[in-house]
Amino acid sequence: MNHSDLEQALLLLQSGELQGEERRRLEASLAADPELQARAAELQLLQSAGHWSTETLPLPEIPELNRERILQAAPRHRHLPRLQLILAAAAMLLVGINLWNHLAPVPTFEHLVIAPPRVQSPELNVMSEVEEDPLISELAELDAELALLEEPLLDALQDELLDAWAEELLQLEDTI
Amino acid sequence: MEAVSLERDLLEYRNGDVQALGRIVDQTRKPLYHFIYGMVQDPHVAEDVFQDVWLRAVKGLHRYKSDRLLSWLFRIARNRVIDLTRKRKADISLQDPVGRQEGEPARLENFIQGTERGPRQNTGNHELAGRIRDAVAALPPEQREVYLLRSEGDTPFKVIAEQQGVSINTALARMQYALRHLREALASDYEEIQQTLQEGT
Repeated sequence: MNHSDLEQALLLLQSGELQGEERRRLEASLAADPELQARAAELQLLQSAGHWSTETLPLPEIPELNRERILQAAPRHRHLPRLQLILAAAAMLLVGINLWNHLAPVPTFEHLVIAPPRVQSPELNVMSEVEEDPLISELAELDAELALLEEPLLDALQDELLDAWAEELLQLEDTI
Repeated sequence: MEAVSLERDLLEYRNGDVQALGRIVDQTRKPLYHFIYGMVQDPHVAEDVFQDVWLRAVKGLHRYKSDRLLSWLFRIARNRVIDLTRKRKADISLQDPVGRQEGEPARLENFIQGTERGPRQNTGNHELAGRIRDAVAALPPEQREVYLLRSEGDTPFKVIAEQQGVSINTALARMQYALRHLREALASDYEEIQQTLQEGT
């Protein structure tokens, strides 16, 4: 360690910033070296001299007006610790959200134009519209085909019934 | 300045007691004022800067603990002194302390009438103290700042380095140079200083 480094280490020791192994080594060197002790004492003396020289200075009083200005500039509220501030902020946020949910106005949609209900006029030809529908026309065709199929069945049924009645009448006539 | 009572006053101030602020100002007044005076070398300017520092400090005071308070006040003071120097470059210079006539040092004693003056037998001490202050005032500004932060605020080198925006080695080197300059400037007074300070302790 050169002279300058040693001096810096002494300054750090005196300021309480030298720690650990370096501190132990320097303290051991100091204990064993009178020259180093003298150097350390000189550094300490020169540092203390400045403080001593101002200690002897008359210290001006703070004028009352200045004191009042300082006190008036202080914020007039209780300063909460940081954790309390965070908790208070979180609580206020929750309350705010709840209030918003409960008190928020229902949207009015004033900008929307409501269309009048669509009413069919009596003159409107409904069938013309229906006829134009391809699905309706298909259904109508199916209905017609079904009717064609049903007609012979109905005729046959009718014939059978007539035959049955004729037989019954003949039997009745025979008994009479 | 007692750390315990300062911490208590800070706590009371945080709890809304504005009068505690007055006590904090009183407790930090001496080291803060001496630091500012050491930087500007003019009692009137020092008073203005002192008040300005506190007007700024009260806004964030609740955030600081007692062990960092003085360093923080010194930091504000340092910035104010730099601002002031920039604004009034023609009149004030950190290189050439404020308010001095040619060859005549500004002495705080000249501005204050009769307060805390020591008895007649302390005249020698006052003169010696004056010579030490003159030697400090003659230091280059960066060295003077490091020296005052150490001697008035017992500020750690790590904090000084942060404040000056330099490495800790640079801060230490500035202190070394400051002490060397003082040793040279006060060579003829060295023994007297040694004797006086040993008597004091």
